[in-house]
Amino acid sequence: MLRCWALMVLLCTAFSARAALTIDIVGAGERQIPIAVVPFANDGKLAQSISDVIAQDLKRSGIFRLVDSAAGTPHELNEVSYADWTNVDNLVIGSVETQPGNQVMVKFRLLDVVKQVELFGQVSVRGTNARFIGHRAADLIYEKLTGTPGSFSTRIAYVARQGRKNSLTVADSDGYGAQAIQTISEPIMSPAWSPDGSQLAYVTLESGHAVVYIQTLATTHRMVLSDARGSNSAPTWAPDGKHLAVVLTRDGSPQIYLIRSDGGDLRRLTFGGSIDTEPSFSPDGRSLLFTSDRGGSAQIYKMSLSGGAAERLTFEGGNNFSPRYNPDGKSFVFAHQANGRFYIAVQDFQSKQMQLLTEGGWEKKPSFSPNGKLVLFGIESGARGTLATVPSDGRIKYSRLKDATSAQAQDLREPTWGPLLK
Amino acid sequence: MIKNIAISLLAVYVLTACAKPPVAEVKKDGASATQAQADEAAARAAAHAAEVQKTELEAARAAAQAQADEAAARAAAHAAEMQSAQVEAARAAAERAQADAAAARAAVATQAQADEAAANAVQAGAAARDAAQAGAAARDAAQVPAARKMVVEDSINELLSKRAIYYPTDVDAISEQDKRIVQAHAKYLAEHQKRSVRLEGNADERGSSEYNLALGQRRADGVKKLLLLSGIAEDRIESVSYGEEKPASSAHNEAAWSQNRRTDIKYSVR
Repeated sequence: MLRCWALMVLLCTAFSARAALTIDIVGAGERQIPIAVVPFANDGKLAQSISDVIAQDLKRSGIFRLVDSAAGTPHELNEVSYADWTNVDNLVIGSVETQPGNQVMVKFRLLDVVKQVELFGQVSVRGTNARFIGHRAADLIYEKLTGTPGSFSTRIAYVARQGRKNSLTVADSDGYGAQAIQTISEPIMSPAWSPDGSQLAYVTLESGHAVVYIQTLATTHRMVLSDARGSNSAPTWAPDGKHLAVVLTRDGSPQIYLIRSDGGDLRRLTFGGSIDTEPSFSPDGRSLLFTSDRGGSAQIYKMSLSGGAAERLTFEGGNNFSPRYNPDGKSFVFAHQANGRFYIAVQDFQSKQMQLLTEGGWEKKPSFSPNGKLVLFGIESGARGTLATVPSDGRIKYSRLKDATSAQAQDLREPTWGPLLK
Repeated sequence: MIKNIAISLLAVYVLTACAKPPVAEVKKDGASATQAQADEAAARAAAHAAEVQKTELEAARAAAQAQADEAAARAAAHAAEMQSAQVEAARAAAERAQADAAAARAAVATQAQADEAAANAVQAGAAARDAAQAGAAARDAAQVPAARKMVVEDSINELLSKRAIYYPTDVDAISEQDKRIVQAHAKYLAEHQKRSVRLEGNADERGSSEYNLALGQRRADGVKKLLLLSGIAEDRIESVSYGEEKPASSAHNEAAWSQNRRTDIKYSVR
């Protein structure tokens, strides 16, 4: 029966691959690794189940199919009977210990059920934040099984609106642990992480026009990065962490400038009379993607920082916005507008093929996870925005992040995924 | 060509502002003017309407071109100023016209008139064009009933009462129709030197927030550009964008979006 199902998945996959040239597949049935995360010993004593955090992270990645641990609840290696777990490839077992000073220690193992071996022996993660411990454990499991570092123990930033109140918010990658770092009664836009994750640049309208600020998370100290006349907006950090690209209207049309992170050394990068905005640095810092209406509609362009003409990259649909480089530099993600809908799409630089990752609706502002495997974006239904992630290969339908921030409905927007924490 | 653009631009001004004949506008030296002159001015503008109508199409085209190329427009304005000889001719004609018209109740020109005249200095070129006809026209105009003037003022007030410019999707250019509104506000600003204006560009929620912020700024700056072309000093104009962040209507349909694609014109006292 299982084999039959697997065969069907394979057939579907083959069909999908062939159809991909003309039809965009959402939630295609790629093969997922069946895995069971057995609830850890003593996990139930914590306010937050760590094994549950791990399971949810793995599930959201799209790489894994989570299987319930119906075959008992082993915590130690000698309690595992491999014959009971033929429905999974991998098994995660472990235990939780609480220690003095609110410390929590989790010890876990990753097993290969098919080969009946430990993929890694007992690993310990310790800390005071149970959810963070779970994300770290999920990163280790993800890397062991896929060869790619996980991005679960990273953070995201977004803007939460409630009435007139706007809060710049930082949360875990799954939307939990949200903390407002700046709350004002005027709109906040475009948060952007510094490469080391210690600062956020963002835009507010609090002084009557758009001004770019940089705020240090640890101290909450805030400085004005750019306050020229007109609009100052769309900050994005260069990989060197010492410069940002911003969009200013000080000389006329919205154009892209390079500015040092202390606000000095302003240098204009684009020289047109139309809109150039939403710059995104390539991982090597040598190129920029940006949105421009120079061709008559909003499309995505690429330019070298060393000069030369910009190259138009998108041609499909009505408009395309908000490009972000994949951290591997080989593709980019963007918001694609067609027939009154917004989709999240990726495009490979080499093949130039666009692939839709969502079914279309009101889906905007995508950004990659640090490992390039997931895309975070804003999705609006009714009058309320929420956040969601989707695998960057579109293998499963998007998952909405739980809005654990408050009991009252908030309007979440402008999400951006932060870097790996060192 | 440049001269043509300048002249046509001025023709549009005359048509839209509709308040004073070119002969009155070149009177920037603050010399005395009379109520009769003002009446005659408005009436003469009406008398000239047919002629101006003829040039409207050409003017509209030129104005669009000028907006697309501000530098060309500036050059045109400069060229207009260079025609000082013609301006002098116009001034002489204007003086003759005034003498013919009434030469009775002399009144001190208001500060507003002087200011307006100064602001409109670049438009003096148009006066040169009309100079030949000015005297006769002024004489005719003096006989047109005062009622005509009231009609003209009503339309200006109606234009001034409009404090927002609306746009089609993803467009930042001002429609020919709405340029009249901006011109009316330019005239108001010229007459009220203590007032300054804040232009707030907005966009509907389609597009990205950053693109919409840029688009709103382009919209506000387009209105600013037209005010500058009308002679309003740059330090009296502030243009900002709210993008899609402050919608007038928060619904998610075309009716709401059309309300949100907008530049608001807001006055303050300096």
